[in-house]
Amino acid sequence: MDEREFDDFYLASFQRITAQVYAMIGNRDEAQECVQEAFARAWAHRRKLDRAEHPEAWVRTTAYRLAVSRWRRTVRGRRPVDRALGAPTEAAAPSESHVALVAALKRLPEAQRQALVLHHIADLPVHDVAREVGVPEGTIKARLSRGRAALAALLADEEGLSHA
Amino acid sequence: MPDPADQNFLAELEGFTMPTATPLPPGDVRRRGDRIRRRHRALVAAGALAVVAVIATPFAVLAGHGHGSVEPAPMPPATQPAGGWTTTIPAGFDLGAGMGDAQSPVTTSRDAVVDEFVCGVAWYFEPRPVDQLSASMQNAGSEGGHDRHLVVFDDAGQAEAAMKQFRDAPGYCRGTYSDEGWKYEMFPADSGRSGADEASAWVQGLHDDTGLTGEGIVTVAQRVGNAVLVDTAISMGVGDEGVRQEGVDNLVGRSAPIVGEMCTFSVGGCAPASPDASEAVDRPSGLAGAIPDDFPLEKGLPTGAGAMDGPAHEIDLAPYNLENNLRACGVAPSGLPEPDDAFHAGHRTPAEGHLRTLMTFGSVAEAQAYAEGVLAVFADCPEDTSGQVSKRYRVIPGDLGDYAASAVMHVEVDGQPGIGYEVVQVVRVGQAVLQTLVVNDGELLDAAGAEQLSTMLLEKSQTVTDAMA
Repeated sequence: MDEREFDDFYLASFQRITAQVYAMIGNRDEAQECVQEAFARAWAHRRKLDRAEHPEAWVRTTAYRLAVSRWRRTVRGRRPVDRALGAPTEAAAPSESHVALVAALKRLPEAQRQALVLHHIADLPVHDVAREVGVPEGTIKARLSRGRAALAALLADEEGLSHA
Repeated sequence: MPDPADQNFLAELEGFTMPTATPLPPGDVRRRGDRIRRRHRALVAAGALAVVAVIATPFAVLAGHGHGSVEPAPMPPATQPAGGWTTTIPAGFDLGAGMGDAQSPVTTSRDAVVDEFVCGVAWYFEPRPVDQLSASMQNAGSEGGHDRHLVVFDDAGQAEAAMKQFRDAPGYCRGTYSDEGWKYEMFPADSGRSGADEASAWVQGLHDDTGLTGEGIVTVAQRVGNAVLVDTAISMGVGDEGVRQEGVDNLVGRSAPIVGEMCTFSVGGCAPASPDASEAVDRPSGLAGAIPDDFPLEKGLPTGAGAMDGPAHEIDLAPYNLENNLRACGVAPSGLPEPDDAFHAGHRTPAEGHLRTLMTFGSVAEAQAYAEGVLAVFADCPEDTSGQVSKRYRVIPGDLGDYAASAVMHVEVDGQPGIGYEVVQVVRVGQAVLQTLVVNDGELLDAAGAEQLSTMLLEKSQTVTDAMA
């Protein structure tokens, strides 16, 4: 992968992967930072990336692992969301339903949330979700089923509360 | 039949997007990736990792500053400079000073990303610096290198906050941690003899299946006023605490000229920092002019078998081979101030020579210029290799008189300790300088022994420097 190919890959997929990681972790700035970091690592290991069947999955997985590392979560809680020398986040305020969805996703168990995001947001078939997560397809199907039910219940509760 | 509400949330989930964010330019991401790659490759490049451990320590700005500590004492609140904080790095600031040579050129950038790694993930200064300059050096023919960032904040409080993050970072991953298949161990380290307002250091050691490999990364952060300097370099032998400390000390030493130049960001600016210092420059004190014939310059010299020369204004200096022994990497000191008077005393055996030269100068400034200048050639020459034999030089600050430092050379043959060493030591008291040369052709000296030797020589000079005051 040469510089042009990498730049094209980065520009074409950054927003998409960031949204997926955001849905997984519920923090937009954190997602953006981790995805940028994952892309940097992708460039650092571009030979490995060349061999990867799904480079986007490689970046997404790396970003997600970064985001959920215990150290990073700890540090993140101790400092502002902005970070040094990176471009400042410029984003419009999300809609109410968007906020509710993200909040509900955050309340799901991590494994269910990851499965839902990869299947429904990243639009991966169950087989690919299973490969990316590293578990059998049956496990993913179970997580999707339980995750959908839990998410529906959480959103219903949220809607009920907002109407009360 | 599916619940309509269920279908609604699934549609929303499948249409999930994120408000448009502004990513870093791809070039910045690639640069950060390049640095990750260099660092990882550097850790496995056998034989190319002696970058840090053998760098001589520029000492000009080190005098008068003690060792830092792993847990530095809290700094008092910084006061505001009269004209406000300097928030722009001056044009022409030579951040790469002391980093490279003709074979290892230094590249500088104002838009590099500060991405020192802690516990396997990038760590950043917070809050955001308002200006930065970065310099990077890669050793020719190897993967070892040295990166340096100067970051400037709006005020000293923000710089202190950044330093606190730096100091706290190792606490988040005690012990060994993994990152992309690499295992590291984090060691907080003594920040060494930094001349900065505060300093802190880590060493990250690389593990393999059997434990520490000895290869690692040394990172030092130093703050002056509202600016922070971060140096990162590859080191080896980091499994040993003493070697880790040496790596930190060397990195601190290499950055000393930069820390000196960072006075522009300090509360006091670059004028003499204290009334004592300005007084010392303006007002001569202690020994000056003609040196009395009965000055006890021989006190503390060896007294055993061998030949004694002096003390006298004129002795035969040929046996001490000053022409060669004050030279490093083929370079002799130049442009040194001429002393008003000079007085000599020496002791020789077939294997070792000690020569003391006491000089008086027209001013404290001239004396200081001489003291710094005579060691500068050693500071600029960490290694002088000819065939299988390498002379390795270090400059070590000392604690005697108004200013003290030593250049210590030891020999390595094919990377193993060799026979012989040399010490050039200067102590300034007022406008007088005591220069001591020790040349040994029969004993081994390693890096740790070099520091002990320089300390011992200072102790033996105490009587003389007392007489200079």
